[in-house]
Amino acid sequence: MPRAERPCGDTRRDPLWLVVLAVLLLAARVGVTLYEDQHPPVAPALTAPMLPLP
Amino acid sequence: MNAALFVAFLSQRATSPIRIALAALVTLPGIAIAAFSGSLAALAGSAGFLALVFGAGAIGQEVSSGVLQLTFARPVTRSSYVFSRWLAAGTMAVALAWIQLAAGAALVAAHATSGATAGAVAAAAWPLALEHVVQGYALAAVIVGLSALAGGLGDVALYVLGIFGAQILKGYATFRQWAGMERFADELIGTLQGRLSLAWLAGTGPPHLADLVAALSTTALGLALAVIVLNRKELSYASG
Repeated sequence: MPRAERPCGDTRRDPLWLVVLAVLLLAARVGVTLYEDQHPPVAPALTAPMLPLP
Repeated sequence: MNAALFVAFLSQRATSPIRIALAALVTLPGIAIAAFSGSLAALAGSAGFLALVFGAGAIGQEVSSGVLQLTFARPVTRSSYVFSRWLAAGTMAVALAWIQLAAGAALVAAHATSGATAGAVAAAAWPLALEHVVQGYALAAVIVGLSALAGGLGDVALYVLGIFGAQILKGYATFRQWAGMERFADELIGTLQGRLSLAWLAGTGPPHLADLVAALSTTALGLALAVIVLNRKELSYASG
């Protein structure tokens, strides 16, 4: 615990960076979710496509 | 983050018999199932459940018992209090999930018949270890956020009600063919359950970036909710 005598200012301030981060991540979440709904990710092919023999 | 609050919370949780029993109830059968099935799939999601076990009542129980009034008599910011609780609950859950994963992977690899199988175990283990980190801290943020809203273990009730409510909403939206509402309810269920799979990092299945972004967003939202609610909570022995 910090010493009671040490001044630390307002102990109930809202961290602005956290609110901004939460809003940005929420916007990214909505964007990525909508994008993946429109363009569903596909699994990488485990085999190479067959090519005609020369 | 406040180191003293972090350590005190870890110590308090580690000496809680009911929480240790619940944690053992998740980890030990998971290891046994992994050993018998020869797959690590049974270990997915354990960090999320452990975060709920260790994070339940993180703030609410302190409010109900009157400890917060004493804690905040010290020059501790409320946000650092929330971060310490979240970090401690998440760290404990992730650490235990990693121990479970290491034990499970060791047993599966020991029973592997070839070197190739042992290599496959290692390849499957590292995305799961990363999954535990993201999921553990995300669900710790969810339960800490709910804990700021309700006293005692009311956060567990809110969590269960949230899941049931979202399931009912999803069923009703499906019945009424409300696609948008169904999608929203499904997202809510995924958030509360910590839905996440990073198996695609090892080349298994398609890469679902949305789940990863959703988990990070859930973490930030849970923490922001907890800090904002706690900053506005009036604490006194008269208010209970």
